[in-house]
Amino acid sequence: MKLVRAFPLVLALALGACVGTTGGEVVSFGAQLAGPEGVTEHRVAFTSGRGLAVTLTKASLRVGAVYMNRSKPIPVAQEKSCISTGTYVGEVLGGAEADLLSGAPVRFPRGGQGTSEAAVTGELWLNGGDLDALEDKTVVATVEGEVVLPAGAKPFRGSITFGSNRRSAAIDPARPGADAPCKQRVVSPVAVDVTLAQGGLLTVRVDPRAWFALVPFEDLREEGGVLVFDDADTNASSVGLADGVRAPQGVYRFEWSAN
Amino acid sequence: MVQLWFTTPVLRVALFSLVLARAALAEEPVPSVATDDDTDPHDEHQSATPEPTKKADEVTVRGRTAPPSRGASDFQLKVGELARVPRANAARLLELAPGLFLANEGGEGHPEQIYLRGFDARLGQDLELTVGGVPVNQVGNLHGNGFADLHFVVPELVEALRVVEGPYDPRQGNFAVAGSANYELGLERRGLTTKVTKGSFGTERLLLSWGPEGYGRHTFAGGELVRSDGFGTNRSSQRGAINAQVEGVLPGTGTWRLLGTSYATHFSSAGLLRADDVGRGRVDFFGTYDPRQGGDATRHSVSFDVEERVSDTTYRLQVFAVGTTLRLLENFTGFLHDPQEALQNLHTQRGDLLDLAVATKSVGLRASSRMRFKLLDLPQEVELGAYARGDDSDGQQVRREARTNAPYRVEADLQAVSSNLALYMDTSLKVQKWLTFRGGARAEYYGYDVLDRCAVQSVRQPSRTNPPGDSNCLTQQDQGRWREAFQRSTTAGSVLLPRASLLFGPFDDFTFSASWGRGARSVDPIYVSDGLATPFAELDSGEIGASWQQSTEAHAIALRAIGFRTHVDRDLLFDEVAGRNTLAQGTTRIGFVGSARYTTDDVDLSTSGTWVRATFDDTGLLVPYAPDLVLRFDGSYHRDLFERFEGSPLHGNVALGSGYVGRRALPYGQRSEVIFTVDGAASLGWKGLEATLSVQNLFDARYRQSEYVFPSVFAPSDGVTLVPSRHFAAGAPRTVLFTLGYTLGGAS
Repeated sequence: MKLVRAFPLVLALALGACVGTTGGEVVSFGAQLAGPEGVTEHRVAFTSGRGLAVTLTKASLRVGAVYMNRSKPIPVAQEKSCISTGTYVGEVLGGAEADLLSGAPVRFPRGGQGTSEAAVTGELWLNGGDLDALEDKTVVATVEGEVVLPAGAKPFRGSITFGSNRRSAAIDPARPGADAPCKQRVVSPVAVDVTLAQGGLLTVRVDPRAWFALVPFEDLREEGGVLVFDDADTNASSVGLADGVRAPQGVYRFEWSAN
Repeated sequence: MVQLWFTTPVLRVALFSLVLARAALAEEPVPSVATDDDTDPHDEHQSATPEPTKKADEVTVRGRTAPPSRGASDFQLKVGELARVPRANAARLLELAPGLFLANEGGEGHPEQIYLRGFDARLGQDLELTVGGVPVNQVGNLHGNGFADLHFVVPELVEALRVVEGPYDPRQGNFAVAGSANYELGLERRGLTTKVTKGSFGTERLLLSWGPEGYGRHTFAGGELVRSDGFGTNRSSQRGAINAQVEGVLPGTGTWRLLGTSYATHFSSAGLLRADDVGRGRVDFFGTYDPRQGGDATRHSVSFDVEERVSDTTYRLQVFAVGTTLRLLENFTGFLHDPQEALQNLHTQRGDLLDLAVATKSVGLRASSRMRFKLLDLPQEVELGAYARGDDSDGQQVRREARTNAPYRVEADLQAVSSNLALYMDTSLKVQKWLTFRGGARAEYYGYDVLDRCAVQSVRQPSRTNPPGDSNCLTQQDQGRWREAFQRSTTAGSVLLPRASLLFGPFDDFTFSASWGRGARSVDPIYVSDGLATPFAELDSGEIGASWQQSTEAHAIALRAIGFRTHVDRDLLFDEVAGRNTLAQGTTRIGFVGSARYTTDDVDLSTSGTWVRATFDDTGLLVPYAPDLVLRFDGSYHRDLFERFEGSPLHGNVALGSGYVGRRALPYGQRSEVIFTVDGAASLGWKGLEATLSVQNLFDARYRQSEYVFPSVFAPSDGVTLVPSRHFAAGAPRTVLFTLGYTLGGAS
């Protein structure tokens, strides 16, 4: 009888034991990759940063993974590593490839995982294999379109990979790892203001128009009347396009919508 | 200076010990009938000092002075029949103390992780552990300052434990943050005993012990050899342990003891698993990611102590020497913490397996004198004591490559010589029969001389003609200027730790107590910087308690209830990158403890419950990992089944142990799973023969004994997972063991 009377006390004690939290929670959310808002017809015309009239008819991007960090990268630490020293609060793995001019977002198949802490930094990994591998032949970005040069309108095309083709020929013998392949493939820091929550949706919006901000076009080689971006750092336009794809500012935007 | 101290007193102590031993060995051994150092386990609030008596027609009773109780949180635990409850090793006996919960994520030879009163004491950093007064915590072990491995203790040779929860006794020294525990060794059963055990997972154990007839139970020797394939994958282990002690008498009323222990183990470890991988079936619940995990450990110690009473003063001196080695291979994070650094040649993630090797040597002494006198017609006591310990630890931690198993990076390479000297005064003063003040203060000095042999691991502007490349214990500064790879740092610090208890009673078998104390955790040598003040972690702890105990010829009952609060100014938290605990913010713990023990000739029952709330001072959020609710039950029932069976009685015994650990707070608002296990044993004994069937985890509960939340990458091809994720170490499934034992000669 005494035991029966004591039971509520024991129960209260047991329940009380689970009161409180260490803060935050673990969340799952959806994630998608999308082009710029309002672009739906596989065609977008704009004036580039160099003042050139460009019409894009194809722009696709493959993203290997997306991360969010609660800290801004520390320059010295970032010099050492492609993985930030702060705590990662969100990640989207599995990769996705999107046609950025279709207006149709593409879902990351595995969704995202994270914790409910505010993220201030975003990262995109533009890889298809091991981030640190010297070689990666995965085509990350593809572009096609037309540019109006002083000599007239010219079609152009190009595709970009980040492998040994981007490795600098002049390697400092004292710092052979300074130009690590992973640094070519990580877009960081993208400024974000997102607090993840269970069931929400993360949209990584990519504006391919900004890829051309520093592309002069005039130094591109021509193949059958088409200007071709080299998949290597051979001329300023090819370098400019690759730099545009991995530019942390002005290209990528992280949007969050609660469920 | 430190090294001088380290060597000269050691020689002095050794010489003094030899002189004492030589004098004492000339004496007769202590007859068993004439030795009594029992303190009544149910009379825990008294300064239980057996009074040596000498009458013409009576034997002389020689005894050891039991330390005076510090109130309700001072648990003097006779193991007794509760030794029959199945336990994996001697460390598990600690769970007889309320609120103590043990887990082991590192394999059979890896020390138990200790949780007590809301502290994640890891491998001993917050619990001062001693065996027969010999310290077990290792100072300067790279795997964790205070690392304590109790596997060298043979379980059958544990007679009693004294667990003080909280820092309330001036005798408590370094690492007594959550409290302290001392194992007292002894062998009740005389004669020669052999036990052979065989059971699940290829487990085999041989135990030999002997206690010479005519000698007290503190003269004994025993050893065990154990091997097992272990459950699941990669959990095989082998170990051997030998404990031996001789007790002799001094010319007066005192005794001396010489204790030696020796232990060695080799083991494999499954390590931690990601819960999401187990959920998706990528790895089995009892599987492993990295079969290279495991380790080796050895420990050898010798201790000599004397206790003598002259007039109203009891003198005690103990000297000890301990040597240990440890090698641990653990991989917490897979392929994550090998960043490409600018100085290095290009590489991919090579693997995070930590390969740690540590060797420690410790020597030390304890000395005390306790004087009794009368004042106000009441017994009073004053004790002065000293403690000295020198440690020399040498440790190296490297990372090993997954593909070739070659070491590729030295993470730490340290030699630390540390000195700990302490003086204390303890009193037991009565102003009324029902009011006792116990306490005093302890002053500690810690000195460190740390040689970092890998002091420079990176340089911003390296030499272009002599680039460091992949080596990481560098001999250059900016612009390639030469420097040696090592750096020596010395520092010292001291602290005064007052401690006091007030005991009221007994009133109708009730005793009330209030205790307050200050404790400190010495700095981990890895954090020592030249000339900087030693950053102690200091704590304040207070509690109030009530106990009720009643002893009759038929039974003994002891009940306790305690409320406590502890504040630590600088706590430690597990860091998976370092593979150890690292500094964190201040924390506060409040909690309640309840315990009961009931003993008759046939029955021995013990139960306890502890609830605690541990929070960070700055945020008010819970401290992760420490359990907030721990319940424990141990019971043993024994009786003669038949009066006579072939001329001798047939003894039967059943024993049951059960533990419940509530859902522990984990980082990011998560909670662990509940742990609830039941262990049972049944035995039959006839004459010197005994057969025992024991089952650990009787209901085959599938549980996670340790859970952590941190990022790891064990399948890089499937994506680099940088967000913290749940990891766990699987608890052992049902384990059935059959033991056949035989004792030749002797008597219990």
